[in-house]
Amino acid sequence: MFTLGFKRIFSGTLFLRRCERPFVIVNSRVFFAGMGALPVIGHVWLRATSNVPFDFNDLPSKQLATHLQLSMRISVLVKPFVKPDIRLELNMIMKSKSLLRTVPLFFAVVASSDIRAQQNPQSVKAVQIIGLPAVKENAKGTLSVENGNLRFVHGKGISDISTSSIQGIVTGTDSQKAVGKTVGTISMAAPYGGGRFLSLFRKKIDTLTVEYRDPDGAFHGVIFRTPSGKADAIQMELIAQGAHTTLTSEHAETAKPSTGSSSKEQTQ
Amino acid sequence: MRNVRRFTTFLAFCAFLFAGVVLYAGNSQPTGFKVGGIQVATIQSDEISVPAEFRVALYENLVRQLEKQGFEHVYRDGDRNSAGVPNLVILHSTVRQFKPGSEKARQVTTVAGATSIRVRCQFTDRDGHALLEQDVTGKVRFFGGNLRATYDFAKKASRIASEKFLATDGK
Repeated sequence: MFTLGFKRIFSGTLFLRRCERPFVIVNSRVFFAGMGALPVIGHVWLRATSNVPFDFNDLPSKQLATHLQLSMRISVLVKPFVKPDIRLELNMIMKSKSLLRTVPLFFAVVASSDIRAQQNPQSVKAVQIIGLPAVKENAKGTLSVENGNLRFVHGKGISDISTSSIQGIVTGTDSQKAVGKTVGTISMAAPYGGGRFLSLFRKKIDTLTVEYRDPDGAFHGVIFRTPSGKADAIQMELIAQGAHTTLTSEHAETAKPSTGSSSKEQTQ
Repeated sequence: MRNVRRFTTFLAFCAFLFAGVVLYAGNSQPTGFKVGGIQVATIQSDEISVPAEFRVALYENLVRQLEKQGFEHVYRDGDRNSAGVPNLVILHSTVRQFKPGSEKARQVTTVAGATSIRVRCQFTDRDGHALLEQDVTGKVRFFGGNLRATYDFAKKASRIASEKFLATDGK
């Protein structure tokens, strides 16, 4: 009988002008029994045809509709006006609810990322070009600064360099072919200089050079290649955790080793 | 008559070749210095601005190549374990010339953008007496990144070191 798709119905009794007015809230709209055409929240006007006192408590929606004597006729009359409005309202409710859910969720995510940042320092994908003992050249891994160590996690283990043993940190910029190694090699055989054309497409990278001494006092140097813009953060983090450095960033100092178009020869 | 002239020319060429071989062999002969180990000092580049990554790559490649060449004891700069080693050879390297080049230019043009680095290698004993002094050049002309020049240099320098010192290393 009640076919408007109402899902939530709350009922109760309200004292208005010393009169007991039963009311029903359908989808957050208030309907008073026996009040005729009543402007309720929103734009829908609904007429309840009886003011018989009802006991609305714990009635299922169909039964409630029967008590309210909302006939099929009325519902049909109301339907064209109600239905889109209900949809609109439901959408609004959903939006507001989702917004209400989203805001705390957003703050939770921000807070958790902050906490994570404090607990686990940022790790950067890196390639160890040369220098770490017992690590193959061009080994891929993750670089991070943790507990006073520069940590490189690679496929076969973990290598740590104590920040207190570091004597120099230098960052630089470079570039490498955007097209991968295998494809790049194959492309060299492409006709009409196709491979050379591909070489023009390059991606920027950073280099991080670390000089340190092991417990025996022996000098070591390590070169890492990191994504563009990541090496400086690692450098700052290392200095913050006690690394000594007399060297500064090469960004402004020296010519870019591979991207530098000028091939100025320096001779003693 | 013509045959005699040809024969004379051929003899002269052979003599020249023989002399060259003898001279080369004399050059590559071991010094007779029995090496207890070799220590690699840090790369100096006082008068030339060389990027830190090149200096480090030169140093690390040099250490690795010397180990590959068969030196039993390769000590790094400042290593305390080298203190009591008899007949220690110290390799001092000073960058004399550096041309950064461009990997991109090499890949695009093939002929341009070569990276080259010339390093004066000085082998001394502990007291600082020069045992050998030679310029070694590392280059990358066609393929590979710029740092490959350091690998090329290290390979050449370590070969020179092994030819001069390793034969009498007491192995």
